Amino acid sequence: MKKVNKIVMGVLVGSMLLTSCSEFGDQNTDPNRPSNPLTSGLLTGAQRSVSSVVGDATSVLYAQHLSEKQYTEASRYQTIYFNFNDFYSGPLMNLQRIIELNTNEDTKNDVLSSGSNENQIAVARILKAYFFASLTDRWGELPYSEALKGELDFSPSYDSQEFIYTDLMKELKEAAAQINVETAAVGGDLLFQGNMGSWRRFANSLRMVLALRVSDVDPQMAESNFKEAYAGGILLVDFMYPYLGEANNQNPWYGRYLTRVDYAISDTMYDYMNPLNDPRLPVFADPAANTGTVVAMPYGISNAEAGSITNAEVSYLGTALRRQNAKLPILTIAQLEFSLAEAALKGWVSGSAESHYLAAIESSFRQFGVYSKAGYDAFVAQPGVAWSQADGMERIGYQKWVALFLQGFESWAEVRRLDFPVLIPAKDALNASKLIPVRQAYPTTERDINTDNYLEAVSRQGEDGLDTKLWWDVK
Amino acid sequence: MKKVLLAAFLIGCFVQLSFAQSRIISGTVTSSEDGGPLPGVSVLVKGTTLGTITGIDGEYSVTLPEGRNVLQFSFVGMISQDVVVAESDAINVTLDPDVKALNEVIVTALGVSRDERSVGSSIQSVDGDKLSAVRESNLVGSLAGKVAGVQVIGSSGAALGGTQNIRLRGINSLGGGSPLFVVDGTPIANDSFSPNNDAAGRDYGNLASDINPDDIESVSVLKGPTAAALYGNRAANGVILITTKKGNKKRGLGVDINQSTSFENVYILPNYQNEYAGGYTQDFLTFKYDPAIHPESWASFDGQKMLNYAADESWGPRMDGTPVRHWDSWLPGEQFGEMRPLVAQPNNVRDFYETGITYNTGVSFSGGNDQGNFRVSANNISQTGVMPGSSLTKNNLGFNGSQRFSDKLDVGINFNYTGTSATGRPASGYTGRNPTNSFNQWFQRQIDMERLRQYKNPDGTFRSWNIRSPLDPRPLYWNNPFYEAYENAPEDSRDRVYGNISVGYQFTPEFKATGFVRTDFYNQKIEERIASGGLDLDFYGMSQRFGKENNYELLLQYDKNFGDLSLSATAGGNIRNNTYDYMYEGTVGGLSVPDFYNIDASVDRPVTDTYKESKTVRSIYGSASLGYKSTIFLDATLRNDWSSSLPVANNSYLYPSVSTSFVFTELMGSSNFLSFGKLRLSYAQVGSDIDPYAIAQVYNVGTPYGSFPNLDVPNTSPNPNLKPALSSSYETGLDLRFWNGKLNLDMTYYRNDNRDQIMTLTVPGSSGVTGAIVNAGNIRSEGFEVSINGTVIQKNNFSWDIAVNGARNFSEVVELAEGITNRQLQSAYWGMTLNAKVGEPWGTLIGTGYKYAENGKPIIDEDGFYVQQQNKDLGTTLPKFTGGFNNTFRYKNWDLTAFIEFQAGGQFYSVTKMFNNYSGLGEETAGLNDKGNPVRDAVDAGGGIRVDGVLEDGTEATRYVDAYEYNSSLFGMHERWIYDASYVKFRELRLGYNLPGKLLLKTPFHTANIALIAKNLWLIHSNVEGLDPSEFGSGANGYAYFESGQLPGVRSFGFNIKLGL
Repeated sequence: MKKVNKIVMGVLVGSMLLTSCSEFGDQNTDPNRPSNPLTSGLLTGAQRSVSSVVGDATSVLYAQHLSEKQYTEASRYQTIYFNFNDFYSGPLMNLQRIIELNTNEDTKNDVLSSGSNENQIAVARILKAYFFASLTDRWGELPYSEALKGELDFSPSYDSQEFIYTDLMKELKEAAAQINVETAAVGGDLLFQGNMGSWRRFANSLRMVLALRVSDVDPQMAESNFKEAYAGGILLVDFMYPYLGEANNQNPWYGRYLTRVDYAISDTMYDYMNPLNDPRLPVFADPAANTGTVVAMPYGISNAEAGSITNAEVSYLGTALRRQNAKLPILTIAQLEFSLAEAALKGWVSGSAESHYLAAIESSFRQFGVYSKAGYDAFVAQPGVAWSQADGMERIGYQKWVALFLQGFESWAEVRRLDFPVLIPAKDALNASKLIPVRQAYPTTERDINTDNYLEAVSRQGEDGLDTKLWWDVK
Repeated sequence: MKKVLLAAFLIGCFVQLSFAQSRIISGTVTSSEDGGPLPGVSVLVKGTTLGTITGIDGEYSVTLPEGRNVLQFSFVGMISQDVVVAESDAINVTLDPDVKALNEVIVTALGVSRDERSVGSSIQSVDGDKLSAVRESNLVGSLAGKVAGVQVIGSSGAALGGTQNIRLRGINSLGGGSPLFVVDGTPIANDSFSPNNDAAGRDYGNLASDINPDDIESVSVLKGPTAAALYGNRAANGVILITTKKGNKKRGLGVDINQSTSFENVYILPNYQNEYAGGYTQDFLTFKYDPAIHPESWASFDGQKMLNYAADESWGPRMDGTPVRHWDSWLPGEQFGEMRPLVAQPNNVRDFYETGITYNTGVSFSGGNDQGNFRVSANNISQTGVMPGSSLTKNNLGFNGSQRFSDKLDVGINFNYTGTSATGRPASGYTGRNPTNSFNQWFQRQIDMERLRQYKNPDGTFRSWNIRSPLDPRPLYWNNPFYEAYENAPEDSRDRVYGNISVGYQFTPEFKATGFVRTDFYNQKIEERIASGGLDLDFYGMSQRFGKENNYELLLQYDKNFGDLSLSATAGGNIRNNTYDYMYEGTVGGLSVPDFYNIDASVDRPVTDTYKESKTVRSIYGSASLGYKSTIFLDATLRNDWSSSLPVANNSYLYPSVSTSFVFTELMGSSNFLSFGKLRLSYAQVGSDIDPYAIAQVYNVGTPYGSFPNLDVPNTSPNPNLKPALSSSYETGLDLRFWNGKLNLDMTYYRNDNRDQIMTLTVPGSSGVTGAIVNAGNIRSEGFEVSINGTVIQKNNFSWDIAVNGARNFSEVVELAEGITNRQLQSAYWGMTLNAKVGEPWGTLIGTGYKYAENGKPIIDEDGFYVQQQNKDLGTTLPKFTGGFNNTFRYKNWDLTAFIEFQAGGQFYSVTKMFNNYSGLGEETAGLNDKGNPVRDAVDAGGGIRVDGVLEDGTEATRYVDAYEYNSSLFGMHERWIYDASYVKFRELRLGYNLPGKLLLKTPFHTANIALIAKNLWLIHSNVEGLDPSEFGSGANGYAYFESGQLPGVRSFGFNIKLGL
C-alpha cells in the first residue's frame, strides 16, 4: 500500500518538476498587439489627433461663431474642467516615443523604414510643439518638461507658460533646422505626405503665430522669433486637415449633423457679416428652411428660449463646410497675412500693414471659395472693412475673427489677445462670473492625483477656473 | 446521500460474521425523520461481537445466541437504541436523529463531503429544493438573501435573462471581484455580457445562468479565502460550490416532471406628472401658413394650435383639453389634419410594455443499483418578455452517471449542455436604443401610446412623435419606441458545455486516487443592428466569443482512524488551460443596401477586432485534517501555483491555511437546551495572478487613415516586475444547536486583508500614460454574519419554519500605492465618480453637491439657485447590511413559502431621476407650491419652486425659482440625485398543495404538487420612488453605484406543477 502511495506521489511530483512548473515558453507574449513599433504608425496616430484640435466645438462657441440650437449649456460656459489627459497619453506620448526610438542607440537603426532619424525627430518635435501650444493656450501652466516620462515620473511638476512658450520657440527653431531634405522623408505622414520642406515651412509659420501671441507680454522674444521664423520661409498654401469621405476619418462637423441639428450660425457672427454683405456668410450658413434666407440663432440664451425657436427657423452650419470630407484649417495663409499685417504695424517687417491685411482677406475669400475680383473689391471698399491705420488692430481683430471661422481654439486665443471683436458674454451664462472664459480648468485627475504639483501651479497662476488670465493675456 | 456514503463506510468497518445460533431475529430499521428505511445500521447483539448491518431496504436478520436478549441498533448521526427481544422474532426499530452527534454532511473544497463538525470555517449550504420557491432561472438570482454575506445585484426581469452580479463579503479587491463557480468540481466561467460602466448597451446575461437549477442538489457557499484555499487564485472572492443531483439506488427508476407557467408585468415605473404636455414653454405654437413653402391645401391650417414636436421635454402647455395638432396629424393617414384635444395619458408608458409569458418545463430520469447510478435531465424555457418583440429560449441537457467496475475501480461522468437563443433583448443605459430611457428621461407626457404602435408609414418610412417640424417628419432626437423594439432587435445565441470524466481507484479502504478531466466551453454570438431609415445611421455588428477552460486533476485521498484520532488527507495536482477567442465586426458609415444586415454591406471600411488569449496555471496542493474524539479538529492546507501570466521570476506562489473546530458540547453533559456547540477559528492566504499580457510593452493598433496604419502607445504602462497578490483572512465562528436542532444559530466574524493588489493605478495623464499596473495597497473587508434557522411550531398537521440571515460588511481601503490617497474606479454620466479612497469605505461617491452654511442650510445665490461645491464626498456605495427572511408553513397537504430579502444602506446615483425632473416628466415638477399656485407658473405670478437657503453673506433667504430653471440647475448637481439603496423586497411567494396519496393511487405518480408562485411580489420598502434599488445589475458592470435608463421593475405570477413518477 505504502509503495503504491509513494509511486503515485512520485509520478505526480516528478512530472510536475520535469515540465518545470515555472516555464511557459512564449505563452504570455501578446498575440494581439505588436511589440515592435512601426514609428510611421505612431506618427499617423499622432496626426489623426490633430483632428481633435481643429474639430473642437466648445471653442467655436466661446468665439461665438456658432450658437447651440437647443441644449445651450456649452455656450453658457457650464463646463469648467476640461480633460487634457487624452492629448498627453495619445498624440504626445506617440511623438515622444518616436523621438526616443530615433534617439536611442539600441533602436535608432530599427526604425529607419519610417524615415531618417533626424527627419522623424524633427517632425515629432514640430507636432509636439503644435499640440503643446494648443494646450497651453487653454490651460496656461502645464506639466511640460517633466511630462511624458511614463513610469519614470508619475507626478510631473508644472512649468510656467513663459517657460513653455520660450521652449516651444526653441523647439520649432531647432526642428526646422534639423530637417534634412536630403535624407529619407517621414512615413505615415497624412498631413504633408512626406514633404519635408512643408514641415519646415509649417514650423516657421507656427513659430510666427506663437511669437505674436506673446507680443504683449514679451515684445523682445516675440519680435526676434517672428522675424527669424518669417525669414526661414512660411507656408505657401493653407495647411488643412485632410478628412476622408469615410466614417473612420470624417469631418467631425459631418458627424455632428448626421442625426442632430445642434449648431446654428450665431447672431454675433451674422450681425457683423450681414450688413457688410460678406460673401462668406452664405458659405458659413445654410438658408433657414422656413424662409430660404440666412437666419441667425441668438447666442447664449436659455434652453427654454432656444427650444421655443423651431428648427425650421434658423440657419445651420453651411453644407460645404460639413461635408464628410470637407477639410478643416490647421494654419492658413489668411492667418499668416493677418499676423504679418500686425507685425508691419509694429514695424517688425517691411511692407505695409494694409497690403498684408488685404491679402489676408483675399486669402480668406479664396479659402472659402468665394473669391471674385469684383466681389472682393466691393467688400474691402466698404467703410467698415477698408483699412484704417488708426483702427488697424480693430480691423485686424474683426476680420481675423471672421477668417478664423471654425478654427475655435485659435480664434478664441486671438479674441483674448486682441480684445477684438468685442464679444458680449452669454445672456444666460451658467458660470459664476458670467464672463467669457479666458482659460479652462485642469482635469480633476490632476487635482486628485498630482495634487502637490497642481497646487503649486495654481498658487503661481491663480485660481483654477475659467476667469484666470493667462501669462500672455495681459491686456 | 449521506446515508449511502456512511453505509459504505460502515460496511467496510463493521461487517462481522456470526456463527453461534439459537434464534433468528429480523426486521426493518427506519428513520423517524422521514420514515424511510435506513441502510447500513449496525445491529449488534449486546455483550458479544456478533452482529450485522441493515441492507438497502433497511432490513436485517441477526442470530441471537442463547442467553442474549438485547440488540443494539446504532448508526452514525442517530441515537443508538437497545431493544430487548421478547417473544416476537420480528423487531422493527425506528431510530431518532442525534443532533448532538451529527449535523449535516456538507460538501467542502475539492468536492469532499465532510461532517460539518470537522469544518473550521464558514460554509453555508442551501439545498437545491430550497434555492428558489418560484423557479428563478438564474442560480445567482436565487442566492439573494438566502446565504449570509451574499449580495446579489440583480437586473430587471424586463432584461430577459439579464446579468445578476454576486458579491461575497463585500469587496475584496479594488475591482470588486466575483466568486468562483464550481459545478461538481469543474470550475465554470461566469463572465457577464453586459455593458461596461456607462457604455450603454444590451445585457446578454451572465454565464452562470446556464446552470439548470433543477439539476442542483445543493449549493455550498465557501465564503472568503479560508474555505477556498484549495481552489487557487480565483477563489480569493469565495467559491459557489454546486453539487448536482445523482441517480439513487434507493428509489429505483424515478421520473420527475416540473412545469411552471408565469406571467410578467411591468410593476415599478416612476410617477409622472400628468398636467403639462411636451414643449419648453406653456404657450402653444401656432401654425403660420406660408404659400412659399407649404402646400396649398394647408392654407386652412393657418392659425391652428400646435405643440413643439421637436422638444423631448414636457414643459409645454397645460393638458386642458384644448384642440391641437398632435404629431401624427402631420403624417400621412386618415388622422392627417386632425385637431384633437390635449389630454393627459397617465398610462402611456405602462401601455408600451406587454405581458411576458414564461414556460419552464423540466423532466428528469434517474436510477441506480449497487453497481452504478445515472440521472438524465432536460429542461426547456420559452419566454417572451415585457419589452415588445423580445423572446428567449433556453434548453438544458444534463447527464450524471457513475459505474463501479470492481470493488476498487469506479468511473463517473458529468455532462451539461445549455443552448440559449434570444431576440430583442432590451438595451439599458443612456442610449437611444432604450425606449425606457426615453420614457423616463426625454419624452412628452401627452403622447398616446396607441398612436405610436403603427410605427411605419405605408411607404415603409418610420413614424416618430419627435418630428422636426410639420414639413420635416424625420425624428430629431428619438425614434418611435416600437421601431426600436421591433426593427432594432438584436439576436444572440450561445452553446455551452461543461462537465467532467473521473476515474477513481480505491487502493485500500483508506486510500483512493482519482483522476479528473474537466472542461467548460461556450460559443456565443451576438448580432446587433440599427434598421435603415431611422434616426441613426443603419448598422450591423456581430461579435463571437469562444471561451474554454480545461482542467486536468489528480487527487489522492487518505482516511484512517487511529483510536481516538482520525486523519483525513488529500494531495493533488492540477493543470488549468484557459483560452479565449473574440471576434467583432461592425459596419461603418451605414449599410450599402438598406436592411441588408451583413458586414459586406459596410459602406466604409468595417471595424474589426480579433483577440485571443491563452493562460496556464499549474498547481499542487495538499490538505490534512486531524480529529480527536470527534471533538477537536485541526485542518491545514498548502497550495502552490505557477501562473503563465506573471513574470517568470515571480510566477510561483505558495499559500497556506489552517483551521480548527472545537465541539465543546462533547465535553459538557447532555443538555436538552444546548444540544450542540462548535467554535471555529481559521486563517488562510490566497494568492492571485493577473490577466495575460500585462507585463511587456506592446502597441495598440488603431484605426488606419486610408492606407496608413495607425499605432498608438497604450494608455497603461506594463509592469515587468509584478508579483502575485496575497489576501489573508481570519475567521472565527460559533455554531449552536438548541433543543435538538429546533433552533440553529451560526455566527461568524471575519477579516480579510487583501494586500499587494494587482491594480491599474490611475496616474496623471500628463505622465503620458493614464494607468500603471502595480502591486500595492490593502483592501480590508471585515464583517459579521448571522444565520438562524428554526422551527417555530411543529404540530401534527401544522409546522412553521423560519430561516433568517443577515450580514454586516465593511470594506475599507486601508492603503493604496505609495503617495496615492485616492483611486478613481469609474466615472458615471456627467462627472459622478466612484472611488477607492484611503481610510474610507471602498466605493466613495464623489461629485458636485450643495455648499452648506454653518447652520446646515444650503447656500443659494441672489436668484435662489444653489451654490455648488465640487469634489464632494457623497456617500458610499456598499450596503451596510444585507439579508433575507424565509418562512415556510405546512398545513396538512398545503405548503406556503414566503421569502423576503432586504438591504440597508448603500448609496447610488440616479440619472433617470435627474432627467425625469430636468425634462419636466416627473411628478415633482408639477403641482402647486406653498402659496397654492402652480409651481410652473411664472414667479412674478406667484408660481415657482420655493427654495430656502442662506445667501453668501450669511442671511437666511427664501426665493421662488422658475420651475424649469430650477430643474435645469440641478443637472449635474449629483448630491440631489444620490439615493439610499435600502430596500425590503417580497421576492418569492409559493402556495403549494400536495395531492393526497389516495388520489395518486389511481395515477402513475408517486407525488404531485400544484403551486401558485409569485416573484418580485412587492417592493415593500424603498427610499427612491419609481426605481428598484435591487436591480442595478445591468449596465453597471458589477459596481452598481448608479443607474441610467434602468429597465422597469417586473412582477410575475404563475403556477407550478411538480410530478414524481
